[in-house]
Amino acid sequence: MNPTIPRWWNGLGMTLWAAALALVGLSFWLVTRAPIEVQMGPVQKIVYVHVPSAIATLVAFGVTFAASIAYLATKDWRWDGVAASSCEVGMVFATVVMITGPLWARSAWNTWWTWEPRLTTFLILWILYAGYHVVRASLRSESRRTISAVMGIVFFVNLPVVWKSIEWWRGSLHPKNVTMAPEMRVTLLVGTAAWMIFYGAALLQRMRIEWRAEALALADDGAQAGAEGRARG
Amino acid sequence: MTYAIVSYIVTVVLWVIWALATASRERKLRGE
Repeated sequence: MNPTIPRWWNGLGMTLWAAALALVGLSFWLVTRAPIEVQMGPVQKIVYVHVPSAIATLVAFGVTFAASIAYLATKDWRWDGVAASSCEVGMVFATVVMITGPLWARSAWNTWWTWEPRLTTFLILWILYAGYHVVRASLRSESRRTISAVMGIVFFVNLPVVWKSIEWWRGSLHPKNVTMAPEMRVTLLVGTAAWMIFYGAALLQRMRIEWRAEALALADDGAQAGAEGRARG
Repeated sequence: MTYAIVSYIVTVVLWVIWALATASRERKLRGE
């Protein structure tokens, strides 16, 4: 497999970054224009970054799951790169959710944290995928990619649990259905689209590191093989 | 209002840190 970053990759990355930054800027502008919610006041505007980040987290870890299966099936390092890259970008989104959530909770529920189903399962999700990076970084052997792929598949089990937690357990403070004014809905939709494109751009950017690392590893292998050949000769 | 502003600032700061760290790691791998 050629470890050189293809030219189209750079082009697509730049296009996605331009679209993502323009749309995120637009969504921030829409947030300032969106009507203020009657009960909660301006703090309700946290939802326009919290919900899209939560959706992007689930998509990112879903991509890690799919790429991990693809790696185990093909043993192509690029799938491992996609899985690890998507997991890292997903962790940043998950961290945004973990910070903006308590800021919302302090105003809405008068507490920074409560052990309700969605919060608890999302915290478990965050810890599991943080563990993915810790274990992956600690491995230097050939099995690093296989072990990462197994983690990417096993940890995915928690995703539907997070999604369905508000239905499966009682005592959830997260609402099952939300009614929004049309301007609020548009702001949320634009925000979701913006952060999803941002996810795509960040994934492509992060994947460049995997490409460089693979090229470096191949160059090291080649140099070592050359040195061994000269020693034998 | 303060919490909403803090949320957006934290989001931007987190992504800027990630972008700088990613660019730095790539530069290191290129041997710069």
